[in-house]
Amino acid sequence: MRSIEPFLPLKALCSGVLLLVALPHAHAVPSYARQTGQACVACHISFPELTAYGRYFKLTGYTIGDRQLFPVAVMAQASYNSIRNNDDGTGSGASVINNRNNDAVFSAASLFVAGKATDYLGGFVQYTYNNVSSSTDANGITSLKGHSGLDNSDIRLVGKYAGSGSQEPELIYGLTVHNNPTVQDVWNSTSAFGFPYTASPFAVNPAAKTQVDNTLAQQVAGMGGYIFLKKSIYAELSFYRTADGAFSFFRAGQDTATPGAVARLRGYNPYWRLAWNHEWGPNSVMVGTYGLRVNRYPDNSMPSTPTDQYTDYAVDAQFQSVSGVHTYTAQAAYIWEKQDYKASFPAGGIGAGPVPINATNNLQTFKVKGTYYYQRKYGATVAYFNTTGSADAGLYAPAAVTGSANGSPNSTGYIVELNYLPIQNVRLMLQYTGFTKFNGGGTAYDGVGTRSARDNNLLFANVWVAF
Amino acid sequence: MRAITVYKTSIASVQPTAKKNGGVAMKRIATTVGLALALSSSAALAAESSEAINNAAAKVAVNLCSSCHGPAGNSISPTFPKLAGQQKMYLSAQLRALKDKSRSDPEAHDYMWGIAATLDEALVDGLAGYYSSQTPATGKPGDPALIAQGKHLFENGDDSRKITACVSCHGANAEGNTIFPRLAGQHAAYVVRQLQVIQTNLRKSSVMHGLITELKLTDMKAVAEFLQSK
Repeated sequence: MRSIEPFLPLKALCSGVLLLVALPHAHAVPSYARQTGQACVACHISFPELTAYGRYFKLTGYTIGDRQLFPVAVMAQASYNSIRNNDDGTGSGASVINNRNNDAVFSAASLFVAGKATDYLGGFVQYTYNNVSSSTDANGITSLKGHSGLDNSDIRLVGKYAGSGSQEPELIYGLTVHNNPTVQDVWNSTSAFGFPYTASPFAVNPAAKTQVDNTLAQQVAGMGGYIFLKKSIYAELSFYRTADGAFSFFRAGQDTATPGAVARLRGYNPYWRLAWNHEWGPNSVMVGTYGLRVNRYPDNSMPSTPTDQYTDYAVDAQFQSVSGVHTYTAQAAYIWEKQDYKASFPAGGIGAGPVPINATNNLQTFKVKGTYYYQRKYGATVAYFNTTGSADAGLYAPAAVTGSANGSPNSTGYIVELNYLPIQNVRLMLQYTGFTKFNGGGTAYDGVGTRSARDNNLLFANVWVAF
Repeated sequence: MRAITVYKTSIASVQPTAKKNGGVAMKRIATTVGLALALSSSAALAAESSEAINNAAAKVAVNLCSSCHGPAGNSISPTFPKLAGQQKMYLSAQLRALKDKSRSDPEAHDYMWGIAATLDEALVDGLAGYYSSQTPATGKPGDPALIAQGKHLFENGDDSRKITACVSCHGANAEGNTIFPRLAGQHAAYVVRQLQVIQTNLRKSSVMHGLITELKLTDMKAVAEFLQSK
């Protein structure tokens, strides 16, 4: 979930411990099903993608149904992972990327406390144990070990307004407190609950990622207000701050001590969201925009320095046609980020922070996916992603596997996924991720060896259960 | 239901007193007056209670049911039936069947069991009253040939396949009657789905089971297209 900053690996390797493996995405809350008495399919196409009713349930603060005495749920994932080329090309002792390659592993388990507290207050808090967290010590020895921490969480206070004579709420409004920009969003074109809904814990991911694209997940506290007018217009304004002090619960389990390990923001940073939603027959469509501007300390352990500024603008869209037999859904998002290294560039790097060659950079990500489900049981998804941006050898330096030969963040790839849900709480997945370009190149991309983009292709067979 | 209970309780509490003091004129008068007062207050309570139930039902309909069944029961998605103008007896019978889980087709289980379980008896009747009094939306035009085929089947049935004319129970305008649901204007996809789950015994319907065994999917689609257009 927490992204690895482009400049981070080398710095962190030098300085000590690095969590190389991010926690897999993890969402599914059967305690809501117990609260409403409804089946998973009422709210989900297949978890976590939301139906129109699921969006309504979330926007009304998870308050539909009867409050449960023990509103808890558990989730677990076990997977088989196979990366195309597991040799990192360095030829040294630690030349294997994943020492559980071509092997089955129990990856993660989560505990949810999720449900309504009152008719106006509800939410979910997820705590995740990652069984295959990877850490590298000062001697460069990588090992897998268990690590737990708070995962995506969202708590809401909501209200509804129906004017006299109105036969449905004309206005839904609410306040939300959460720990990941877009975790509060109800459309699956945004990042926190965007595709892929879960990925291999051993995936080698491209170096560059925008701030709004899960980069700040579980490191910040967000608070905001939203309205949903006539099931048509959604507007939200939220602010993000470092999850420290009274908000430190929201980043419980994160490594806050190591320089460069977590994001630290200056003050309250705005996030905005505007979306137009329309429903007709079994169909719904959304076209929207969202964005984020953060002032981020280059080094989280040095909060008295100036900050770099990242501004993200995104446009996104979603289409769904939902029925008991044939269901089609599609999501797309384009995120444009301007990186202004106001602090790091003039200083030539601060602490464990980035050392950009350019004063400013841009980074763009485009994602699109289409899904088909038969009887909400057998599903297939095809996705395409493309990241481009200005080259900066300071940010994207040569390094085995994770680096770049030409300083470019450009990466392109696709995901093909097959799903089978024998029962609604169990998802069997086969996911293949392929890269045609990785960190700026198709072949010999990392600037160290001869590794090709497609060497990072990965087969991920996963069993995902939630009860 | 709650209103009736109040009324009955009041009469029962007054009657023994009247019998016990039957020989004394003054007491008779007092009892009569008392009875009258009790009855009138029961009636007032009943009226008040009935209004309270209607208000509570409207609140539930607006804030909860509308999220799937649309404003005033005119749903958008064909997964969820239109309820506006539906027969009151049919609605309350279905809500009770969903509540006691005797209606067990997959959609009933997935969407409605949990919701119906939260409704008490008074709300069941209140919601049935609310939706039966709403104005149904006008029908949606469709394929004329299919509509004509469906109309013929609806009005005449098919003796050779032992398919009874739908009109005999559901009414000339498919407006329904008591426990026979209104079908006019209903989503075609919902009508087809219900015919399928009834035919395959996933949804219990003692009347319908024997009448549609020979109904083919093409028949279902035609009659549904006709009903949706009404």
